[in-house]
Amino acid sequence: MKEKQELYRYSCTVDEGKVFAFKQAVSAADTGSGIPPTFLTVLDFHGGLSFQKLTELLQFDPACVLHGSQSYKYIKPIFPGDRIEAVVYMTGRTSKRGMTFAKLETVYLKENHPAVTSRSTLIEQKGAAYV
Amino acid sequence: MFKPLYWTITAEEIREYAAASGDFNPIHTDPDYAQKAGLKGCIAHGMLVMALGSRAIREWEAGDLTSYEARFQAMTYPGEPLVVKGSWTDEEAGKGSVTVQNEKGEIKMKGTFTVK
Repeated sequence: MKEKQELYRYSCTVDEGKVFAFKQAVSAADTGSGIPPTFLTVLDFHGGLSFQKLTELLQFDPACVLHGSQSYKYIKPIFPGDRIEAVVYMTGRTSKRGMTFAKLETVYLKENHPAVTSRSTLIEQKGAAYV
Repeated sequence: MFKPLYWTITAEEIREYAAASGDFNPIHTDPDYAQKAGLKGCIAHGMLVMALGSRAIREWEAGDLTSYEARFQAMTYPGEPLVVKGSWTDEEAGKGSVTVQNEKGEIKMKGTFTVK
């Protein structure tokens, strides 16, 4: 595939309790009022894009999924209480040597402007699993 | 070179991360499922390892992140002693690198970041 294709879209409010719990889990309790740098993936899960849902959309076997890479660009800070609309695109899908690579891009919009963009690569590899 | 950060991710921390993040993929929390998937046992979430990297960047007081990229290169098991290393690649431009590896030097995550 060459053109990027919208895979999923959701909107949700950043929940202060979930940010607090996440900060506790990653030892980032003392990091001010913004969300931690990797919290966006949590927003995806709470926005309905669970690991199960994502593997269904990608038609990947959930027991054979590798998380190859993840990157973020931070444009505007996000705080608890912010309303975020996220649009998840698949920007590429290729197969080679028994592996399928899916490239995803997510744009997190705050007040209709990009606040964070995320890119990730998920790999379906039979006989291997880690995410 | 920044001061290395030493950390060992425990099984309890993996369960806490699963609960806090909503990522309940059973390979992280169910040893039987993990073994059926071909693993020695449950493994840490890649995103938990990435969070360890961002924690180190914060402790190094490098600055506010404007970008952060990670490549996951090997699985991380609970109880594995880890070291997070980092250095500037271009300090004036706010560009740096961060890696998470175990005691044997096996690289779990290789990353880059920029700060302002």
